[in-house]
Amino acid sequence: MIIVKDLSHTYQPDSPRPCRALHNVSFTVENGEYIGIVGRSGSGKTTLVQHINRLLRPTSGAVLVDGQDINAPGFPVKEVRRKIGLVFQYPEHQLFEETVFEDVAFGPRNLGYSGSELPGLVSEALSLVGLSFDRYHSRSPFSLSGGEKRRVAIAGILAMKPRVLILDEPTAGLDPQGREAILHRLERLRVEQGLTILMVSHYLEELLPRVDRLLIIKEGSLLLSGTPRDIIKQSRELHGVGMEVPQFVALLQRLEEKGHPVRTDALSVRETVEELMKVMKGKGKGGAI
Amino acid sequence: MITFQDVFFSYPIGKQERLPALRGLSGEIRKGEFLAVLGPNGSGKSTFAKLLNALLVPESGEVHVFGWDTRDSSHLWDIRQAVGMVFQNPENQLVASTIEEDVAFGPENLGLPPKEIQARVEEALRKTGLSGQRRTDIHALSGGEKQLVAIAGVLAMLPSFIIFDEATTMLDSENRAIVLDAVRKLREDHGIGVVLITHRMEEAVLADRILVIGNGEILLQGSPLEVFSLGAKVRSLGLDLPPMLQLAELLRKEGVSLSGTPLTVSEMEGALQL
Repeated sequence: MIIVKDLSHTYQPDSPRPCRALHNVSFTVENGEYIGIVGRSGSGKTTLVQHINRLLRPTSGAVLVDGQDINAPGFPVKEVRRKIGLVFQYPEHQLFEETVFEDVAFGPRNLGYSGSELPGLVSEALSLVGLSFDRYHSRSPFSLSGGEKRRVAIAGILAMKPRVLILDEPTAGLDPQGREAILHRLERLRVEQGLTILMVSHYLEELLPRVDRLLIIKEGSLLLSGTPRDIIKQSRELHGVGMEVPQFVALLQRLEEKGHPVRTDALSVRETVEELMKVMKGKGKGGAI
Repeated sequence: MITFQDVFFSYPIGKQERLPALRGLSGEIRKGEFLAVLGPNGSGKSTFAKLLNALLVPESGEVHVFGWDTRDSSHLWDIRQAVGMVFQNPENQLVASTIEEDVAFGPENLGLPPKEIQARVEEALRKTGLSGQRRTDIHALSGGEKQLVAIAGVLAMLPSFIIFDEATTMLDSENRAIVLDAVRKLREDHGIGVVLITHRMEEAVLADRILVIGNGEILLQGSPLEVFSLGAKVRSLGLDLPPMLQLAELLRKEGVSLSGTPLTVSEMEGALQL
């Protein structure tokens, strides 16, 4: 379990222009939860997630992982990094080794895994992101497609066997198939490995059908937290944090405004179809409109 | 106008081998046109973009910008000024310490009088919604905000074309809307041509014309309606259908007869006839 308690962070606190990035943020993440984090660019999402694996340390407040304050003096930072894997924005820019194997093995090697354990770890991590060890391990990361590189970078984090996976905009810049592949793999990781996942995204439509809970960050504070269905109903608040509802929700909202008895909290195109079918049946229009 | 004729390009991998990126592209981009370029990662879209303002020159074939051959280095700066470029990652594009200084960098390099520079900066900031933050430190900005500064920097050069190489990728939906709105105004108010390279189908439907690149070749082109009407064909090229068309497809499977090919929320609302 992760407890973020009254977390505040100010960049350059002693400079003439300190920048307050987070202010009194508190929330709890249960083991196995899938959390979506949204908010305007610059709202503090990245600053927030970087605290959870101690890349940044709070100006005040605390981050507790399994009951332990990860910023306590003498707390072993390696233990945090082992437990909590953080996938940066554009992680493939950090691929630098000559082979996929060496890149994925870099993290676990640093954590002290021995050479004989590495092939097993790398192979498992690659299969978790849907890449075959035999086909990929000796290839140069630079010969891969954008989606493949991204998955190799995620595998590099998974090879450290984290229990919590934090991803900062993991689908940014990927084509539709690459995006779908990553999202699908994350869901499987969660189901099969029981991983806790925190994912930052600018695309509500990719979070809504998948996450248990959404955290909405506004100007460094936690504005809202709730299930996707609760959150999607609050379109005014979403608009206020620079998030537009997906087109299918916008469509339902327009129909509601016209007086049709539709629910506007659909989480996917598929749910929208169900909702529209109900309206049509209600109108006795059946299959012909 | 930009024309490209039989353009080939490849990247060296190792000592002898080369990786083909573009294989015989031909076509044109008209002044004031809004062209969306789609294609999977690695299809050659970015290479294509870099050839349009002489960041790369063709291995064989020709690219002409207002008649200037991009291989002729004597017109390099005319070409670069006429065809501005906004990249995916704004970190590599910003040079100064405040927003205002960064946007002024291009016009200053042209040696324009201070008044003209100021007017251009003013206008570029206004169009990108950054006027209130002009003295903000670049380093204090998020990735999305930096991207808006990069766009403002290009605008200050008064280009005839702006190429957005996945420039909306890192932005939140509000900033995406600001950029897309800026794109619309650029065309409508100033006749600036736009080439938008994107993975988002809902952005592509805004264009006059879509070019689908795959494996270094032009696989499809036409209006958004023409391209997305092809449904299964579009999917087979690694692309997706715009969300409203996905919805229409599922509704039709349920036996609902919808008229036309709804690409936007309004069009869908109309097609439903509720």
